[in-house]
Amino acid sequence: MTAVLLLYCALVLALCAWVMWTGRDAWPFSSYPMFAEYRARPVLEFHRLRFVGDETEDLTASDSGLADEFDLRFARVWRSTQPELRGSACAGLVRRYWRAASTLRPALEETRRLEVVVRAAFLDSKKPIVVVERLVYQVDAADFTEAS
Amino acid sequence: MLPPGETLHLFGSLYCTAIAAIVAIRFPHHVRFVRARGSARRRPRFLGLVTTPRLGPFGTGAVGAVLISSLAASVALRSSAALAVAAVAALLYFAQLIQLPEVRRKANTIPVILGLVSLSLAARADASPRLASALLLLIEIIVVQVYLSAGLAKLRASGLAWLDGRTLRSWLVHYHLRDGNRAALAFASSEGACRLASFAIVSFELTFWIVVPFPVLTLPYLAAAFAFHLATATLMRIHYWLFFGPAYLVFLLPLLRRP
Repeated sequence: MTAVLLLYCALVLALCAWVMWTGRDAWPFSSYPMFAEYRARPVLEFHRLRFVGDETEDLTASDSGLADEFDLRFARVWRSTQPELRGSACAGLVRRYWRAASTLRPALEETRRLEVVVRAAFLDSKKPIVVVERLVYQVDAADFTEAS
Repeated sequence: MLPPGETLHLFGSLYCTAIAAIVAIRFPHHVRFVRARGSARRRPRFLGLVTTPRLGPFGTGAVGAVLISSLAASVALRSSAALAVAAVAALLYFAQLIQLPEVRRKANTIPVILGLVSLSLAARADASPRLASALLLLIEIIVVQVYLSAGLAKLRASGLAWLDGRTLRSWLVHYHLRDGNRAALAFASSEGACRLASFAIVSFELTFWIVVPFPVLTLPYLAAAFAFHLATATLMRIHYWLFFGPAYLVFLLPLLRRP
């Protein structure tokens, strides 16, 4: 059994070294490239999905990873879809994330309106950093209920 | 100081207890997450070779229950077989949750360490001081390589440009836009603080491994690690402590003295 243990140790060491030097993944052995890419964009944006009901809550409230994923997908849909088709593309996306968020937080089923707000920060030489927020899309929850 | 055999035994017991407790506490959230999102669409490939099976909410719940109960059994019975079951269950369980921010890469070390502790129990490694020392050393290496890997990745992707603070500043602003975290924005507003923090982060990540050959540096580096993770948790909502934290016992236990 000691031989098996030593073999396991050698394998673990080899895999740790390999993923570290090559930057490749062999899950559960992996490199850790978090925040490694150089970023110096002068303007940053984030799309937040907002649930408006008796109380207002953002998708970012739960630490579920949904908010980051929604931001990327909404930005992609907004950029790549022609203006006349945006409505239905955005509605589908918003509905999907509302459903997922409602499973995590059932109170969100009572949402009356869904809004997508883009928050932008300008990182030029001005101080302090300027942050602006604007509504880019909204839909009544009743529209989804009627559609289904 | 505790002898290596005793340290290894204590590490195994405390590590398994901690992981079982954390998984049990987060279990309802994990099952809800899988219900909400389905099992991860891009599930990880074990050793890059075999795609892990999709389990769904019921299967994930069942594997989670096996993970918790086998960890509890391994602590109660000192059973290497129970720990081997726990290691496999951990692989299957965390693969379903790989998109969850609190899991992602943060739980990677769990099955690796559980496998190691399982084999060390089967080989009665705690009876041999040399073998026990070598295994504790390997667990330390598993922990420090995470930081060394992160530091090397920054140098590989961005070179020394990462030290100018703009990348860190950009991410802090991103987290402010996402979470409305005012502290993150305040920190990002100071270019000097971002430059200094970037230098400190890369220095810490690239040199943490030094505690392995020079254990006398363990305490200052543990303090730095605590500050680092406290900052990422406060400013970025990145919580490495949950699933990665228990592995730090390997540095803390040797500091204990025999009563």
